[in-house]
Parts: sequence; structure tokens; C-alpha cells
Amino acid sequence: MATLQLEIVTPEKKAYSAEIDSVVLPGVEGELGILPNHVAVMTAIKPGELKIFKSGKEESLAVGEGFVEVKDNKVSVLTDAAINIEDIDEGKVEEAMKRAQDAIEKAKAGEHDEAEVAALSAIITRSAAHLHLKRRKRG
Amino acid sequence: MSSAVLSRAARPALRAGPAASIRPIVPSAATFATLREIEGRLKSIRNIEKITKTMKIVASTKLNRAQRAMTESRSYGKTSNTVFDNAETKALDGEGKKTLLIVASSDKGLCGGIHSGLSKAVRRKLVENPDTQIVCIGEKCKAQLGRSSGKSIVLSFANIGKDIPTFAEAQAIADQIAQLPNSYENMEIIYNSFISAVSYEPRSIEAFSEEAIANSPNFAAFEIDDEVLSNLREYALANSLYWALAEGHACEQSARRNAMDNASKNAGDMINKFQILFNRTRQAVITGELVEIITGAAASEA
Repeated sequence: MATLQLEIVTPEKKAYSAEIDSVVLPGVEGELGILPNHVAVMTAIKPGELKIFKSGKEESLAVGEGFVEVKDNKVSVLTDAAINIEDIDEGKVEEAMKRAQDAIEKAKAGEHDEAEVAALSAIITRSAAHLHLKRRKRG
Repeated sequence: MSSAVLSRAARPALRAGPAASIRPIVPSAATFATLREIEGRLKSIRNIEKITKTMKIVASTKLNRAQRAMTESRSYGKTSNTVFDNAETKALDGEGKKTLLIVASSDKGLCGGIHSGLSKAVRRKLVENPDTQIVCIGEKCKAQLGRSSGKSIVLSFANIGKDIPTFAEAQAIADQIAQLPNSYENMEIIYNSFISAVSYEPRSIEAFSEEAIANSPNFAAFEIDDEVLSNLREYALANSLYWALAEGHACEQSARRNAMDNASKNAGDMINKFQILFNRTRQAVITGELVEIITGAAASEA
């Protein structure tokens, strides 16, 4: 059976690189499953879970915002963060989320910069996605 | 009176020695003062050597980290740009197309010709295309380009490149650039490309406009929305910037390491020369004093 070459790269490191059977991506317009011989696609992804299926096993990564390029059985995922779900520290994420929320309230009360608020909201979205994944995994 | 004569007699020997090639040290002053002066200079050269040595060590440690960051960012930047390579995206050219040059330098000097090399490359581009506008990242290139082509600079950033650049910084810069009032058909990022630990060269990465991306011959192969396209463009700009900054940072550290290594070696050479000069001068002074005492004693006996 044909396989897909999956590559996940973040600014800090190459997070994943292997031959896989299929992958499910958190696309901006909903979940997106990619099987071998998929048509060429280029789309944005949002913070969420990326599922990798490889020889009957399933692996999950939490990814941030980014882009996916699918072409000739090669999937390149460019994202600002890719973390193994086991590595997520729940306490830290919660704390970061709370800090961002406080900062937004404070910013909104006074004079605020749209870009700053947008950046903070992005942190919250990402943290929420991480927490959601972590909690679901634990069941 | 005799001392003046004798010290003058002692000097020709000194002049012929290595001292002559270093630097004449206020030759008219009395020998004692010269000795002091040499001592002072020796001390300050020793201090400078200490500083350059420390800076070299700091740069070496930073270089290791910078090189690691650079390798990772390179693979990230290249993956991001393969899309355009595959699509055969080309910069739009023709009359009235505005070009923006983004210069990725930094704030700190003492690192050889890193910044002036970049500035030269930018000036060459400006000669080819005088309407080009410039965004400067880092104070050094801003100062250098500000003198020759200050009018072309539309935006500049400081405080970047002190440490390993982060993706968030690159994104912030890309955001600011996207907010510029003019729209540019072509963008080019000029950065120092890391070839090896001792060599680097200014190169450029193209950052394409939406129009250029949409017009590329092989892009039709992808299913893609317009909105995604504009996001992609911003994201690709941030990626390329991050790559350029990380690579520039690694170059800067390696250039600084080399510059400081050379400076330490030169300081070592100077210390040797001054030490010899110092010893000889001290010997001359002692000889002078001895002769004085002996002539004095001989005169009083007679």
C-alpha cells in the first residue's frame, strides 16, 4: 500500500519525519483526513490535535497555527509549535491561560492595541486546545 | 647635565631595536617618564587582551547555540519556501513595481565586516533600482544606510539579534511590515548566509506578493482559497525572516569570535613588543644612573 511522507517542522526543530499511512489535521475549516494519493492541497491549520496513523498505531501531537502542504504523497506541516500530548504540563498551561486572560481584561479596560489583544487571544485558544487534548487523553 | 647626554647616548641602540617599528613614545620626555608611559601602555594592552579574550569565549558559546538554532530554522525556512519553488513562483517585474528590501542585521558591532558587507549589498541593489525602499532590522545597518540613502528607509527595528532570534520576533516584524502604507509587489530579505565558521556572504531570499503567488505557473495544482493565500503570504514572510535572522545571528557570532580571536592575537604581539621595549628602557635607565654615580664618585675623589 502506498504511504505518505509526513514532515512536521516548527521554528525550533523538525518535530516529526516518517513514512505514515494517514494523518488527520485540524484544518481551519474542520478536520481534514489525508490518505495516500490525495490531491494537492494547501491550507491553514488551527491549534488542535494532529493524529498520525502508522502501521496500525495511532499517535497524537498538539499543534499550533500553521500551514499544510499536500503534494505527491508528501505532507509538510509548518506550525509554530508541535508537542507530544504526554509532554503537556497541565498546570503550566492553565497558568499561562489565566495570565493571558488577565492581560486581556487589563488591556481592554485601558487603552489597548488590537494586535496585542489578538496575540493574547491566540495564546488562550492554543492553551485551551492543549488542555482539551490532555484531559481527553487521560479520559 | 651628564644624565641628559648619557641618556641620549643610550637611545640609538633602542631606536634600532623593535621599539622603532612599534610607535615612537614621546621621545623628548625624560627617560623616567617614558618608562612609566610604557608601563601604562603595557597595562592597558593587557586589559584589552583580557576583554577581547572574554568576548571571544562569550561569542564561541553563543555561536554553538546560534548554529543549532540556525540549522533548525534553515530546515523550517526551506520547507516553507519549497512550496514556491515547486510552484515556480517568480517575482513580478516591470515598470512601476515597488520593491521592498528587508535588511537583517543587528545592533552590535565588533564583529568584522558583517554589517558593512550587508550595507554594500543593499547599496548595489539600490543602484540597480533606485526606487527600492528599505526596512532595517538592527541599528548598525540603519546607521550605515542612513548616511547614504536615508530617504529610502521606511521602517527600522532595534533590539533584535542580541540573543537567538525567536519566531515571535520574526512574526512581529512581519506584522509591522504588512501594515506599511504602501503595498509592495516584491519583497527581498537580505541577510548574511552562513557558509562555514570563517566565511559568510550576503544573500537574499525572495518573499513573494499575493499576486506573484497566484500567478505562478504550477500553483493551480493546489486546491486553495484566497484567504488562505493571504495568510500564507504573511506566514511565509515570517518564516523567511526568522530564517534570515537566525542565520544572520550565527554569522555575527562567528564573525565576532574571529574578530576577537585576531584582536587577542594582536594584543599578544603588542604585549611582547612592549615588554621588550620596557625591559630595554629600564636597563638603559639603570645604566645611566650607574654611570652617573660612578662619574660623581670619580669627580669627588679627584
